[in-house]
Amino acid sequence: MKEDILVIWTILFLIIGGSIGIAVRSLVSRHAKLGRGDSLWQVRFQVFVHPEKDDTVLTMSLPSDTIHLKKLKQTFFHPGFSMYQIKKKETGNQQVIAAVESWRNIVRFETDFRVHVFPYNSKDIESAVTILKNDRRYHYLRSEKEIQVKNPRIRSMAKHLAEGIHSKIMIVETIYTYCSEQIADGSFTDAEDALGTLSAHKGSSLGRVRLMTALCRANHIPARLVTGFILEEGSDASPHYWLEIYLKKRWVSYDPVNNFAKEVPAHYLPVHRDSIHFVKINDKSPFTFHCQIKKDQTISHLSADKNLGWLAVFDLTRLPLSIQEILALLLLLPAGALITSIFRNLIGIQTIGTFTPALLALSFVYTDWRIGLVIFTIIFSIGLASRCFFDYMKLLMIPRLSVLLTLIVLCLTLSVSLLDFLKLSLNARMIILPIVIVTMMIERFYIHSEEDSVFIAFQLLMGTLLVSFICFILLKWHYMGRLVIQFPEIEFLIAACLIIVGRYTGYRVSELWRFRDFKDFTLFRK
Amino acid sequence: MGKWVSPRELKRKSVLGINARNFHYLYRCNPRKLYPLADDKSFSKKICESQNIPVPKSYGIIERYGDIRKFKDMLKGCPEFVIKPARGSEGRGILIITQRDNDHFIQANGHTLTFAEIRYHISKSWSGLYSLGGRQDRVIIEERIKPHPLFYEISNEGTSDIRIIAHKFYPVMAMVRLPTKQSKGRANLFQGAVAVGINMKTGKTQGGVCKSKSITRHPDTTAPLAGIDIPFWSDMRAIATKLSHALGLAYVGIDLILDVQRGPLVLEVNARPGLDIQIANQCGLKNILEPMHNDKNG
Repeated sequence: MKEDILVIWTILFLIIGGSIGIAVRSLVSRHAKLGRGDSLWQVRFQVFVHPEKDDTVLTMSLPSDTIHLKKLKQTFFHPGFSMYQIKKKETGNQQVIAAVESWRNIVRFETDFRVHVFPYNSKDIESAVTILKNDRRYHYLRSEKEIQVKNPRIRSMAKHLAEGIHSKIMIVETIYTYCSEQIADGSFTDAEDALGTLSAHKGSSLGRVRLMTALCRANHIPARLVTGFILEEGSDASPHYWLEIYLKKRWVSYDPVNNFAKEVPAHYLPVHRDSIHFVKINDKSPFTFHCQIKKDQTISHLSADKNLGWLAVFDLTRLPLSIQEILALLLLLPAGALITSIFRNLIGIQTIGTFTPALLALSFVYTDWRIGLVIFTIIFSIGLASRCFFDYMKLLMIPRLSVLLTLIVLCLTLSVSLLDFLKLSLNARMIILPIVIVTMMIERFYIHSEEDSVFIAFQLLMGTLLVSFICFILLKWHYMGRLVIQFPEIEFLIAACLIIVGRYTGYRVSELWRFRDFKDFTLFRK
Repeated sequence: MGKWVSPRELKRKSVLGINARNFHYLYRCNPRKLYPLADDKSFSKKICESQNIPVPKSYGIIERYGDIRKFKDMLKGCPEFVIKPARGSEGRGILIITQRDNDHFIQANGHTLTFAEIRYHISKSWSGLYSLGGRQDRVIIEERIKPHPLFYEISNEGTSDIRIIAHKFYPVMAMVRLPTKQSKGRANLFQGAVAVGINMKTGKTQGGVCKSKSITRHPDTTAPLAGIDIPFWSDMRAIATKLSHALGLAYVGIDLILDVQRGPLVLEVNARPGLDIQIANQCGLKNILEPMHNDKNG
């Protein structure tokens, strides 16, 4: 009786405590002063190509990190392309190169990535020092078809704006003021080149940026165009243009269209520098480009209010996103254990080991689950075959397990290398595949198949993989991960559920089948 | 869906489920510190011997790895014997040798093993391959009991045994476990052995189950399973009462084997007896256990 009361009070305490914690946190965050903070964005680039020849090659620039943002992970999907490689250019651009397999069909190249935007402080952080060699300097002073540096009108205006000013920074400021205030904002039908924009005193956003670039170059100040995207929700975002000017050994950003000088906002995502053509096809086959941008809403909660003081320890959202990702997985592991308990105690599905499914699911989180499953199947099969072989060698248990572990480590290492060779989804963190757990799983499977039956051993293995799959869905669900970071009090509720499941004394679903003959037992004997 | 039974039906027929067994009987009746007495066959053997309860004779126990090389001496003059891990469960790791030809040993299932293979099996068992929790184990080498011819007529494979479940030191339900071809001569229900219920008062068999499905005849010999008088039945009941009392476990399964001359001998004790005994007896355990359980608590 006392025990029942203790259990009830514990459950109530956990549920009430957890609920109060969640409620208080929700209230506080609603009223807290929100400052600039981290945000996460999901971006997708899609290129549809209609190849006209059989040697069509696609080259596409990929976004690069800045002092304000970082790409977290990038995946590619390229049916119809036979290979790709990623090259890093001198400008800091990353480029992907892919060759079309079949020139008769429309083929698609797609890349998804997440972008982490940091809170920034322009006083503390500056862009990296870059030493510009002479050939590169001349490159960024050159005259182009749309940036007519050598045109007399451009040169005249450049000279006029720089008159009486000796400091390059001041010259740039004057040019910027002129382009942002004196040149009217036009539409995409207006001039897109520097000369046209200057002549009309009006230009498209590209035209104004090109004009400012031309005026800087005419004053012997290296400047380059930047093509990128502004991170805001959009199903088909259009590129935005700004420029970078080389001042005091650094590339400094200016956007005369949106009136940003010396730096652009954190959510400017640069894709390509020195040109607007960030997608190129070698043989001029027609193509279309689409960009989709979506904000991850669950972390719209920003950095901690500084007034919280030591209480900020309880606010996990203030931590860097990379740490939040890891903590989210950790906080979801008890939920994985709850799922295992439900499957075992309520449904009646047995697994190999108590925490094996949750830990296996954790390893699949860091890789494409299909590839992870294939690798797991191959490693398991090789391990099992080797286990039979080791039995003939009559090894003692610990050395035998250790040899099995060694084999599994080798298989995993080769798998990682093979995935890279095949240009498949690769994340080195998949090597946290619980090697020891897989080794024990192979051992237990072998023993069950020898001592019980192969059918029972397979039943256990399938049960383990099924529960592991359910745990994987939970761990992979970004929304759940973000929720437990925002409200770690959810762990109290999970603990309460675990206690409730632990006190369940009803029938398991499997027993409704196991004892099915009792339906027909009309005379039961005592 | 028609083959499934509803929870209400099971409750009505007072079937004990595994969750209820664990919660109400194992955790409440069996103190954790007493589990080793049941889990370790060498401990339960000592208790039986101290209570003058007959058990198979031990030829030796391998406790340290270095003892493995002495096991040949333990078997001098023994053409048949049984090797079992002390902490094994569900019959795992048990090796029954029925004949010997110098350094070749013939198992109950007809397979021949060399001396090296037997030694390897002992070292595997000692390392804990078959033990509960995978801990390092002891290995018992004991005499092989010749099965009573009564059961051999029904199941011409392997060694049959009798399980009695005792609650609060009182035998409440029992079954005979008969090996089959599918179970490879072992009385292991998971591997396809047959379980036949026993009437507690009369000692006569009733019903039968194989892989949780009720049957009336042995699948291999087609011999009828019901109506067989179990010899030494009252002795078996007395042993179950005495042993469960000596162990201090209020919910326990005791496995006995019937020797044609010596009568019932205790093979092992199970602190977590399974629930298929209910199907074998076509009777739920709940309405038998609950009055006893509540009465003592009352």
